[in-house]
Amino acid sequence: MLCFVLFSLPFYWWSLDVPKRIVNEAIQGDVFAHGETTARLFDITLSLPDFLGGWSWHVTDGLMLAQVPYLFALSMVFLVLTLINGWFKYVINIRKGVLGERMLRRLRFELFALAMRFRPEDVRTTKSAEVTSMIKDEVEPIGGFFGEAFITPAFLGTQALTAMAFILVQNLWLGTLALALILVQGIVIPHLRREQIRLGRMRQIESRVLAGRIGEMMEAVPALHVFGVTGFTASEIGKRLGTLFDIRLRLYRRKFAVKYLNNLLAQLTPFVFYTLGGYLALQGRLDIGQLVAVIAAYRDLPTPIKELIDWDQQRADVTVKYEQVVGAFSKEFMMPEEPAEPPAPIPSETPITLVGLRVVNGRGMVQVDRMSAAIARPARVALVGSTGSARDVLPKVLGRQITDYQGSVTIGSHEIGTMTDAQASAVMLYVSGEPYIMSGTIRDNLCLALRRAAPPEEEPKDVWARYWRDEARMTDNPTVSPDADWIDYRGFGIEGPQALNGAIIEALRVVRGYEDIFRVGMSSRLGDELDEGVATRMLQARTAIHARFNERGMGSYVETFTPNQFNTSASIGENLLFGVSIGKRFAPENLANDPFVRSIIAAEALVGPLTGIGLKMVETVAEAFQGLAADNPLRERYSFIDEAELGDLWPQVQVAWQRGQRRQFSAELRDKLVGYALMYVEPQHRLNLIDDQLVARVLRARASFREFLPAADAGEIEFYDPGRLMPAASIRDNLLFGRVRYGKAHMRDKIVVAAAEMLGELDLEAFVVSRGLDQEAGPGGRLLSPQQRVTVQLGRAMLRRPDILILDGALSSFGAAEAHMIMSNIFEAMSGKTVIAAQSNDDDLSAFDLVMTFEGAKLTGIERRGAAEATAPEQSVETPVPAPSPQEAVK
Amino acid sequence: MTIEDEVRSLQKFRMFHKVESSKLKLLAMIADRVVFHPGEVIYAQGDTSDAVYVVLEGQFKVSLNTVNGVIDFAEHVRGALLGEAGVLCDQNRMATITAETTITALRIDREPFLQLLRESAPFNHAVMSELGRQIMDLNNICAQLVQRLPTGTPAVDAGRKIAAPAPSSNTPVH
Repeated sequence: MLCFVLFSLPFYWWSLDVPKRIVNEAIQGDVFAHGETTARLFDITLSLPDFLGGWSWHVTDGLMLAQVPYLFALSMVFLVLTLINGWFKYVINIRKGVLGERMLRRLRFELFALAMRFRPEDVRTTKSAEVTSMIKDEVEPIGGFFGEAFITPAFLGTQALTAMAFILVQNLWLGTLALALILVQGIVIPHLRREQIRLGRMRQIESRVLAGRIGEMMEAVPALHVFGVTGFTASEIGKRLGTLFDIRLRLYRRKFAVKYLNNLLAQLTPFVFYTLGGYLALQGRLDIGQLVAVIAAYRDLPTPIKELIDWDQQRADVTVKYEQVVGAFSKEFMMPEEPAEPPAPIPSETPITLVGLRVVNGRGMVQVDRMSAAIARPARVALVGSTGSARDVLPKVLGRQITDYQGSVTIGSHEIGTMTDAQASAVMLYVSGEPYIMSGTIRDNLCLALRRAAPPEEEPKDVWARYWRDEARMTDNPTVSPDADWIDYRGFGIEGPQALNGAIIEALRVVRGYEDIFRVGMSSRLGDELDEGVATRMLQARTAIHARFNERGMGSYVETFTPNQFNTSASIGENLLFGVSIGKRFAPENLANDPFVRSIIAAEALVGPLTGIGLKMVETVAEAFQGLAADNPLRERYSFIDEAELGDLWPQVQVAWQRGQRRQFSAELRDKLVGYALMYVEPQHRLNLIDDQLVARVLRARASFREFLPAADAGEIEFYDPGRLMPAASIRDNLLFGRVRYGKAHMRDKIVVAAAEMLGELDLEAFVVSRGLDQEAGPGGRLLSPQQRVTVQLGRAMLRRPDILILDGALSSFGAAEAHMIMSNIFEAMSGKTVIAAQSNDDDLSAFDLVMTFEGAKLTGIERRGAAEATAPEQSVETPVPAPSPQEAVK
Repeated sequence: MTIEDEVRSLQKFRMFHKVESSKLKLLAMIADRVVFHPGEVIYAQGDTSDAVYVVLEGQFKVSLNTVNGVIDFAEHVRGALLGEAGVLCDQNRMATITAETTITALRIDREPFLQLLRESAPFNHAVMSELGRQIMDLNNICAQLVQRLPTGTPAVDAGRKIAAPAPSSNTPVH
């Protein structure tokens, strides 16, 4: 790139030289002064200076031209030179940009890699938003500057030097004068700017603090309101803003003072040139062309110089930023770097040895007090104590969440605190009660724990792929794509990608999350990208399931969709449509506002009855839900009647009543009421509002809806047809092709069980489960229930089946009974392996074979139970239950 | 039968005397009406406590599986409310309830039930006094039973469970 800069210089020189020749030779006609009508142009001779031998080579004699063509030719040369200069600038800028972007990518990746190596303790005290903003925002100007760092001084500096040299060659006096003025500029201004930089730094720190405080206060807003202390906090922010204002004002003053001086000096030089240069020209010691060229060169000069000064300013700024970012990322202790080679496996029977373990937290509180113990493997270890005692801390030490401890904790001569990720994760897995769910599908989340293979680097297939790889290499980024298959099938005993679903199902069964995922799968949309086999089997399943229901005497509990029958278990709206809405138009909540539906309702004289039903519903809701908050879960069944809407409607209804004009509602109110009525399901809402007449009318409306539906809207709805699948409906609806009747407890579950059996027989189970696994978990797992999140987390652990599983309150979000069942399943699945679990004092500990009891920070007892069990762990789940003995401390 | 009818039936229960009718209506609105035929199990011992039942009509039987066979018990402490203890204590069902005659009941899911307790003080009070009444009845029964024991029998222990190990209820879906 520097070559480009060097190459560009002669052209720059020539572009300064040509105007002089235009003025002197072409316009003033110096070369024509002695009566010649033509002059020689483009007479180019390359020559070496005398001290190199004075060799010269005559390239071309050039052309003989008259004055006007001479002028035009020179002007054309000037134009070409301008273009060439512009091109050089363009190329250099692009190169500069690429260099900057590459450096930025490398810097960001390195910072990210560093952040990944923070110790767990440090991570907890770092604000993730700060790290994010540093990697994302603060680094950006630094990256942008990388390109500038070398090129700008090289390019502009040499340009300025060329211009200076040019002026000097033209006239020594004027040149020296210009140089002197520039030197003044170059010395005085940076000096003035030093204060400016100091202020800039203050501004940066102050605004970062301000942002931090505002963020903190926003999070605490509810509490601030509770205490009524918004005035105090407002005054604090006001003060900070004042400080910031003051700094910024001082900065502005300084900035414009410098600018003023700068401008003054820049304007002063032309003044000197005009007066002095003009004087010299008049005296004939300087020709006019030279003067014009000097002034032109000088005009050009301030830009590079100014930019150079700006560059210097930027350099100072960026240095400050860089130092700050680097400071934030250099921690005293970092986790060791990951070795490239997989470490030697740790044999599965090496015991865990704790010698003089002592953990002190950041505030000097002793959390674990000098404990020593040996845990032979395999074992089922219960750590028992009250909340906050060492039983909550020890799992974190074992799980490498706390690496800052005294004493030693080793597994077969490896110190836990300094193990690498690869080494530690190969033997053990730590599961806390706070699951980390990332955005992506449930499957992605479950498989997260499996993605530890290092897929081989693929030879790029095309130019594009090669470009990607080369760029990644150039910036030290990973070259293997995240889309490659990272799952370590062999390491976790899974046969291959096709066996993955099976492994996931098995893991979900262990943690009792299978049924849930199956249910999610059942209620997910069927979709229209089915492979043929699945589609035919789905249709088969529909009839087969109904046959199965009849066999079991459950046939009457599902009310199938029949074209000329009112389905009492479905809403009035569903009965009217008799199909699945595909788009938004016929969705239940929009039904009453659709002009076509409205016209059908009116045509069948349904407006009156439906308004009546809606009114009755509103009355009931208004009475029963009085005083309940708008988001109270009890409202769920009537959630389609919005509390805010109700607040609007209710007075209108009452006004209409008082006037004694029950049917004279406004069109808007009537549509609302009809909308509610379309949601009405008799056996669910039980207001006794459906009679034979209404049924007959709805059935007529159903027929005319289908008959008169405009062809253009045919794509909006899929009518029920026993011989066709409905892609827009859920898998369950596709299978049941009807509604489960109300009034029978557990019937829904039994029906789902029967349906699931049938699906198993028709080999559709995996399809349904994989649909369930395809559901989005949402950012941070927000679309999942807390239990589902924990289930996913435990499922990950069960996919891994590590030699040592550490459960640190991992089951705390389940009820006692459920937690117990999950725990026994885990024990069964982990037979022959080690499970270490934090338990509370009143948990059933009969299944454990080593119980360590803690009081505060002290280990107060180790109790080994049934040594035989340790050798035959699979029996211990069904140990005959003796009266659960209290955990006596064995000192 | 409509919600209005259900509210009227609820009002006849002694425990709901003090609960305002709008809250009884709310109770009915969040509930499902379910019917059990004679011999049908309403819930079985060891099931998860997922709902509370208010029996509006019909007779039922309470039985407990023990290692030594089935005990039918607590005939004397029949109330209108079924399964509330398990829901409140987050325990699996302690006993099996079977319909003797056709039973009509309101089934309220666990979460809405707990929510309703938080929502309505009179309802909360009604459930508490019902539990209190059951405890008093049980104390009375205990006293009578103890009276019948020969002297020198060891004291009973609340921690000792006589229920047979719960039949594994974690049967997978298929």
